[in-house]
Amino acid sequence: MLSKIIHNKKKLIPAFLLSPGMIILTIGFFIPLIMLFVVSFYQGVSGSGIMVKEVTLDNYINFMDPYYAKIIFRTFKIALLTSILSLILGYPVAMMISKSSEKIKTILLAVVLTPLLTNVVARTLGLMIILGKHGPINQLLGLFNIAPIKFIPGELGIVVGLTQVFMPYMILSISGILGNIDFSLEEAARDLGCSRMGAFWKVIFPLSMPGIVAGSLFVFLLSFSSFVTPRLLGGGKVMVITMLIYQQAMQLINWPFAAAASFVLLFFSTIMITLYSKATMSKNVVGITKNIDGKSKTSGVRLVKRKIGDGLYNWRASIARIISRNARKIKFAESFEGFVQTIGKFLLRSWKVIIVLFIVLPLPLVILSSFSESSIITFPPTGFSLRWYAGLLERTEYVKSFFLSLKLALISVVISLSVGTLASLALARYDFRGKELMRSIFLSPLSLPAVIVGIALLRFLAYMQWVATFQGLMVAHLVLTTAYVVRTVSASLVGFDLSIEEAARDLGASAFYTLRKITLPIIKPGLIVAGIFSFIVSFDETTVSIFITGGRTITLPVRIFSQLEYGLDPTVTAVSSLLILMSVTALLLIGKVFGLEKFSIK
Amino acid sequence: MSKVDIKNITKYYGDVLAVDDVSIEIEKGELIGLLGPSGCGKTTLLRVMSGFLEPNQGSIYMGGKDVTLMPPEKRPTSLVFQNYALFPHLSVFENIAFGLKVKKLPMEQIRKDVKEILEVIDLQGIEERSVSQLSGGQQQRIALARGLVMKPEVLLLDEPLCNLDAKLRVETRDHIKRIQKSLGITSVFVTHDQEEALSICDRIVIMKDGKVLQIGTPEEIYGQPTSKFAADFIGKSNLLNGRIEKDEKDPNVFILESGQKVKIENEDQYFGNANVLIRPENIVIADEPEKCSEVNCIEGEIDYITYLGEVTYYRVAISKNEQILTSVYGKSDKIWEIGGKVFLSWKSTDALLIKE
Ligand SMILES: Nc1ncnc2c1ncn2[C@@H]1O[C@H](COP(=O)(O)OP(=O)(O)OP(=O)(O)O)[C@@H](O)[C@H]1O
Ligand SMILES: [Mg+2]
Repeated sequence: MLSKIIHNKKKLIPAFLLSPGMIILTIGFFIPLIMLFVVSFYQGVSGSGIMVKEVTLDNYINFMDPYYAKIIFRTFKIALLTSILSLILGYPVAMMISKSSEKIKTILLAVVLTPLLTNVVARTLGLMIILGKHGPINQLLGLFNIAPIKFIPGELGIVVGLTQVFMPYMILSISGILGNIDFSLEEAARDLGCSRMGAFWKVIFPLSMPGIVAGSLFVFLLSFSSFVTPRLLGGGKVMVITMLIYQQAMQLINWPFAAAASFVLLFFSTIMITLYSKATMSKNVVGITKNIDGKSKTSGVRLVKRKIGDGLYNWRASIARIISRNARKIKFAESFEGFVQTIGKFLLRSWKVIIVLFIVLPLPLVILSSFSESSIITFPPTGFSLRWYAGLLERTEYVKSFFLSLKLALISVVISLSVGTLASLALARYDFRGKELMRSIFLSPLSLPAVIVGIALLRFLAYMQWVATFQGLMVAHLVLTTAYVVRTVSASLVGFDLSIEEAARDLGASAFYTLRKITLPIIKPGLIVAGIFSFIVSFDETTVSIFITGGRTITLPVRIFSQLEYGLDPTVTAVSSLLILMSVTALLLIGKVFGLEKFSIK
Repeated sequence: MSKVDIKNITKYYGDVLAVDDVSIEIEKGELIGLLGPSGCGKTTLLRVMSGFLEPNQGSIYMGGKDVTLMPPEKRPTSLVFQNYALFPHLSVFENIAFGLKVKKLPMEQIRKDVKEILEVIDLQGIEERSVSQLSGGQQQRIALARGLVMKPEVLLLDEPLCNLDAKLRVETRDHIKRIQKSLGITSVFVTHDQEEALSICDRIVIMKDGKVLQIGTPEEIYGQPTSKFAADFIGKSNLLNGRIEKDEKDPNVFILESGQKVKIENEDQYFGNANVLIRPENIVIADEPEKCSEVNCIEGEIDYITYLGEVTYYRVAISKNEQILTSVYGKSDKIWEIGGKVFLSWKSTDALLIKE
């Protein structure tokens, strides 16, 4: 009798811990998605915002129209070219990473990851500068008497830009697999008469296939559903599927069609993942083993599953997970010092460096340009002035947006950290039915393209009459940041030795006391990372917010985005520089915190 | 099957001196063992021979030709890797055929060669299996076959048995020896297991800290070690400290630290501090001095007994700081116990003087 009561009580605990998060998710994610799905079967009237509530398949059938088929085909083409270019450029870098010493490896990884941690608009601005008609690339070509290439606006620019943005995924996938390959195999091949190149093509390359395929899939999916980069680098003229969604939803106010387009996007992404799974079933790409005895198997399939589970469409999530898992090992502050030195050394080394530079360079370029005197963005920047920073203060709209973003970010941190930690504890500590399902539910907002999250929220907030309101943005940001917190804190609970808690209980501590004095202090590094990431995620959030801001509530990144839609403006370089600095500071902060953590934990 | 000449090879890794002026002449068809403790430079020397490392100094000749700067794929050597390095994405057949395909041999030839070599290593009918479906011993033999099928003039084996369990090691090493002899391939066999080296090698090279200490047949290395290190490293040994004094009338008298005198053979009339090596199996243990069979007869007390079945080791303290280990094979007629008083004796010819 008594035991039954206790048992029932125990069952209630996880439900209790999960419920705040579930409420946020239901309101901010599931209801909007369901509404979006329903709307996709209504009939819309372009330009009017009127919806005829009659169920029809017209919206989907419309995609057979050559015009829309062409858009899908173009999106495919761009995503495919991006994957190929990323592979060609990324492979040598991955090779370099997997063959370097531990120290250099950390530094190179930090270099490769830094751009992923900075705001997408700021990064794209850097690309606009690099790829510009008189940008550094064209100047370089000019040195060899090659006529300037028109990268932007256009598809070529989009492909190069997306490559810059997503190549790190390719590099990480391939270097992960290469790291597991025993390089004595290469020597064995050479001993048997292969040349260096021969050994590579016959042994190393086929063995790295799972990484190549997985990396290509990531890059493809990310490119296929990216919005900000194609919008800005395409100058609004290159119609891809996300652009179509944006245009239909925001300009033509034909929500039913935009909704249908979202599900078409999702459909093609799913097809790609399915094809991939099929392909990996066939013999050649199945997976590789480090030792032939099959001890440490890394298969591409697992890699992909993990990546998608991590929140493929929100790259910061996987990075956050990696950092919090290795929290005690990573010394970011140190890596950044070493980073500067190593870059210096590498500069002299080889063309692989140029690729690495291509990944990071847009960021310093933005910062450099922000100090230019000229009101046209040129390269190299002319003169030195702080006028754009000074000018910022006079542009009240930027200042307002800044405070709006700050407020959103701070509130997001506080709420999502508490809600997310509770949910993580439930997921890590308790056994209950449907636990795995619950975990994927909590992470699901990160596994959908941001465009779709954005348009779903737009539909829902319109229904609630919350579009362009603070509470509307708050809901959107909470959905994303809570998922981040769950991801990050769960990861830091993974290696947690339960017997420590049991010891505390055994010594007479109550459950709550144990949580406060034992559990939380031990996962503190994870909590801090989660907090910092939530802040950045919220502050930097662009794609979802684009759909739901307006009027007086426009967040800072969206403000920059709208400005860039009209063209380059030096003021934007100043704001973007501040955003970049913020991300870098956050990273350094993480390093600092862990520096201190080292002393207290041992 | 060519003669290999290693001449004054020196190899540094940065500041670390891994191989220090090593010269070895290897005869045609000889199986030579590189034996030494971990980190003494065995692998490094082997990799210099196979072409993966360029020496800082010295040269390597194979069949009279200087191959020092030749890339690994051009050398007439086959290397068998410590971890086998089998290609995990290829089947057994494809693994063995790998080098032949690189050579662009016709397919029939390749099939025939692979079949033959599988017969040699006594593993037939597993051609289509994936290498991960093989046992450790089978993988080892496939790795050997992959090298042998290239008909190398020199076979280099880097601790090929170290991943196998004790019983399999013995079987496989005898197998390797048989194959090596029947094909007559000049071979270098790296190991840090002295028993392995003693049992199958024609000659053994003892290495320490990158240097060669001694080269000789197993009998020479075991019977006449020229250094304390070699004496200690190979087999069980008693190394007694002491000196030979000039004013002693007989140069064959060795004075132990405890002052006791033992007889040795000191042909070249050496004087000064030295060590004496006596192998445990050359010592006779008795419970009365009358039973001492030889000239040397030292009294002591048993302080430790190790029973290993076929042999029992007795450690006998002959003074406060000196112990002598002796072995008794089979069942002895007398059972000694710890604390028992015994007398040890040995032939003076079995007491080897090691000058250092
Ligand atoms: N790549 C390297 N860089 C720097 N030092 C090295 C490198 N490889 C080996 N060494 C050093 O060179 C010395 C000889 O190494 P080597 O691998 O030849 O030893 P070994 O005799 O094969 O040892 P083991 O029995 O453990 O395999 C060691 O001190 C080792 O630490
Ligand atoms: Mg070695």
